[in-house]
Amino acid sequence: MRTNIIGIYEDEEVVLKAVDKLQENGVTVADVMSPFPIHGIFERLKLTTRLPLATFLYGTAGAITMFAFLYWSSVINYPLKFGGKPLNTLSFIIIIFVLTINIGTLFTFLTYFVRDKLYPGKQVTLPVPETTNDKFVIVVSKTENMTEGDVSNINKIMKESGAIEIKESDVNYNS
Amino acid sequence: MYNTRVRGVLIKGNKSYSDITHDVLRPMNEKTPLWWWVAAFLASGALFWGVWGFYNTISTGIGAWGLNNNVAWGWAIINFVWWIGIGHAGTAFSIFLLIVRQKWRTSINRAAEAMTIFAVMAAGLFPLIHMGRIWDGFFIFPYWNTRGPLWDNFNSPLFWDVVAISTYFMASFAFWYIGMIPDFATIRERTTSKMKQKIYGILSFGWIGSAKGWLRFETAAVLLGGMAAPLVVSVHSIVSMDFSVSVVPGWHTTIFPPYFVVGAIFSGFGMVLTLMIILRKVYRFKDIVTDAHFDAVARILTFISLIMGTAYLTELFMAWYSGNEYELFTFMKNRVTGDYKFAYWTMLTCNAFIPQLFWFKKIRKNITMVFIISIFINIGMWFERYVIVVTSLSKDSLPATWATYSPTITEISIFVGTIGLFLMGVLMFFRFVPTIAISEVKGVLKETTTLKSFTDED
Amino acid sequence: MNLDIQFKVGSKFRTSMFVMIAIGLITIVAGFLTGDTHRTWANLLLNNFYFLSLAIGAIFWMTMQAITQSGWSSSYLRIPQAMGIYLIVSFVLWFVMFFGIHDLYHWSHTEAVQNDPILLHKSAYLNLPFFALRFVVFFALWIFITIRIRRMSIKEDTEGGTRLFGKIEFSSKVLIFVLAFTFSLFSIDWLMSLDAHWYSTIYAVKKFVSAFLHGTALVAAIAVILHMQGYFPQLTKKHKADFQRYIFALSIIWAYMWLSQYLLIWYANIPEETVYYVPRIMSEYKTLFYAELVLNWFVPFLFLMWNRIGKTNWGILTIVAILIVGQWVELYMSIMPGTVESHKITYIEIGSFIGYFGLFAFVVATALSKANLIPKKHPYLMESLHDEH
Repeated sequence: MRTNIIGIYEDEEVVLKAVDKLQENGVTVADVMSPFPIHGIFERLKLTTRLPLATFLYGTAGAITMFAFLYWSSVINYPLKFGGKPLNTLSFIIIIFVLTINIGTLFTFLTYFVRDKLYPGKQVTLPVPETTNDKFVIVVSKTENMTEGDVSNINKIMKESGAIEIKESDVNYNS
Repeated sequence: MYNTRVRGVLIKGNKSYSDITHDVLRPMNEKTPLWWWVAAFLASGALFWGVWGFYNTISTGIGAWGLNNNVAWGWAIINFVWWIGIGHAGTAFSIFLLIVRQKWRTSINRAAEAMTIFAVMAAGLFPLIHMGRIWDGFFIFPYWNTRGPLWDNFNSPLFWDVVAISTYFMASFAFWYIGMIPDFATIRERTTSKMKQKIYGILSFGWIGSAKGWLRFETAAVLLGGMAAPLVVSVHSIVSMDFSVSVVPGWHTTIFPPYFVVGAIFSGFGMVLTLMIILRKVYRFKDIVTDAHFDAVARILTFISLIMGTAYLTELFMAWYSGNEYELFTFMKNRVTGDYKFAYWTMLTCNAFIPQLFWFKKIRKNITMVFIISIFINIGMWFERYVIVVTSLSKDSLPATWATYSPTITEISIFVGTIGLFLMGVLMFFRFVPTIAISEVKGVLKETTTLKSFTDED
Repeated sequence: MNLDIQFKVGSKFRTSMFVMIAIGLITIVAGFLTGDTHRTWANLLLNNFYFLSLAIGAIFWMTMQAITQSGWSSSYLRIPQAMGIYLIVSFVLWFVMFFGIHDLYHWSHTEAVQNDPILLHKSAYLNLPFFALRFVVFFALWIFITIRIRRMSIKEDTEGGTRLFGKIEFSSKVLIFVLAFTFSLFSIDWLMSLDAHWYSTIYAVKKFVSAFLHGTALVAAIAVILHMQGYFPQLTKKHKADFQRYIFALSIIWAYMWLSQYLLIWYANIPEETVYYVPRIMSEYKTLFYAELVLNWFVPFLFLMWNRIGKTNWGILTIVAILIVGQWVELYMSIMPGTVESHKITYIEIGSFIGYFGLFAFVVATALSKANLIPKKHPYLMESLHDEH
């Protein structure tokens, strides 16, 4: 079982400095848990997301599908003039526009939950429950080739950078 | 950096992060207060009366309403447009204010979004009832059928309406729900009640608040919001096209789409003010929803009211400028001086003149006055739709068919019923959901409250 | 950081602008001498309106910053203020237009009006004395309030505090109010009345949005150019993204106005209304008709969707260049089919635009150099200079 070293902080600016300090010393910061998104943390942990690309693809696919359907149903399958408008009509623009957003929204929504592995009823145990309230937590994974010295060094950096409490936790919270 | 010296403090009372959590969640932990029961009783009473009206309409048919051959659209469409308009505030708050970087939206957006959901629900009922044969409602969807296959009329604005409003409902709900997940997790971790732990545990989807989670959360919010912004504009534009694609005088003007959208945001903001003032009063949120918030909304309302006034004037001017006698008749005779002059002038007064009182700082700071003016806006926007729907239909190009219209008790009961539905929804929201976006307020807390002293050489 | 930054107009820049103005003058004179008076007047109208709407759009952007209490933009406010100075020059240039009114406007011919019931009805509004009076009043209002805001802002540089800041905000509110009414009527007067029988309620709104879009785009471009010359070190990626958001959103709103007008006229199909679009779609104007939509909406929309492009200097400059062409095409499509009725783009179009462009750039650059480049005592200035996140 993997074990984590956990430093608890009370202020997001202190957390940012602590992350910098840890990374300067060659420690990999596994995660930072916070009650709200901290500005600047994503760049520091080098986190990226391809969600915008996914949305763009959904939108494009949605627009094409909708146009194909509208064209097929009103020009090919059952060509019927309504109110003197052409079969391949400008009204399609409006329907395509709205349904592109419809498809984009729905699939982005679903992709978000799938990628983040969130689902109703998922059971989680937080190493520090107060991270949903007012505490900030830096998580450093304790790997097997870490020596005692490394661990105490990490503890020391955390303490110096303003952690109010440091503990070890074997909660594998991310499952 | 946020210059609090000039802007004033947005969140008062020197609150810490845990104070925010505690303050927002406090009403949920208290015993259900008496006013809530009273309000819920009244709202459900209204709702039941509406159910009677609903039943009456379905069992009798549209004949239960005061419609006639000429005025084929009455209260049902007026109320439909009115509710949809109110439903525009949520997205407007969340997205448009994000684009112009207004930090004060954070305390209000959750309630505005909730309002959107319930208002759209109330609005969606009207087209459904208006069909008369509600059991054939599914005909509107393009599906493989036994009629030919005869597809829908894709040129019909009524079909666009169905598409737009259902999409809008789905998108607003998605946006609203994603925003609530971290707050549900906060409740899950704090509560001592087993029941609540179970319920909010399910609702929070296993949120842990890790860095990666927040990154995806913020990205998803921006993406969903970014898509909802053009959507919100398109929804009311499409509603306006129910009128403006026709050739009816007073309906067919090219300014209708933006004019409807602005009107919708206007009425939405009006309703947000009404509700937020009540919410702040009953839940004692004075420190989180401060006078600065109301001041900001009031400023925006002044601006929008100006646009509304300009739009009314443009319509009048263009009706004259066009030299088209039917347009001239509809605007000058029928609306300004004719049978419907009461409605027209009420609309003009409530929407274009009364909100101009917000130019005075004294009035912006007086919450009672703000509340009263917000009520006037709600009334004025209802009359705007009344003017548009009824005046143009009652006296069209053929004088032999001119007719007047007044609603029956059934129509009134359905309207009251939707108000009951809306209020019921809002009351549930007040009771079971964090009414203020806790994590968002925390995000702006620090820079909007600490007094940083800037020197000029800084 | 040193806030006393003075912009200097380089002599090379000045010379090239003078050359451009000279080209413009020669073209216009040549246009009149070679008998192409009709086209020359139409082009003068186009360019006059073009650069006026850039100035109006820029000052409108400035007033929006004031009423939304935006902090990030506070260090760039001198750019729209300088662009506002062009209003004075524009006022003089528009006076010349009065000599061309009979050439361009059908309603200005008394004998034509007498035999036309609709024009007779409109003559209460569309008559020369009232037309001229409106013109003078509108310009007087714009210049007065714009100069007032600029003066107060420059005075703020020495005075500091929030007294003038509050006054500027109030003046901005008044200016918004004034612009909403006057610029709408102005575009109806000078552009919509070219097709004297036709009307559309959204026309003025669309021209307003167009001015706002292109004015904002130019403010962004000037900020980026000055940044590349080392004047605005605080122009971070964040600020570029803010400018990008404005351009992106406004370009979508522009397209929305375009579609509202076109779709409703297309759908209702009333002859009095479709008469406007028939010569624009069913003739050689067709290409430019679609180019208008592509340049003003489609290209900016497609590129700015990727905010990586909008965060680079060259990304913003390219998009703005496209928008500048786009606005020209838009005005060309508004003016030419109703006046010269020939879709050619001749040397007059190009030469006169170059001349006006040189004049505009010269006036704005000179106005920029007259005051400190950064409003150094603006209350929100620090929010703009230290905008890390």
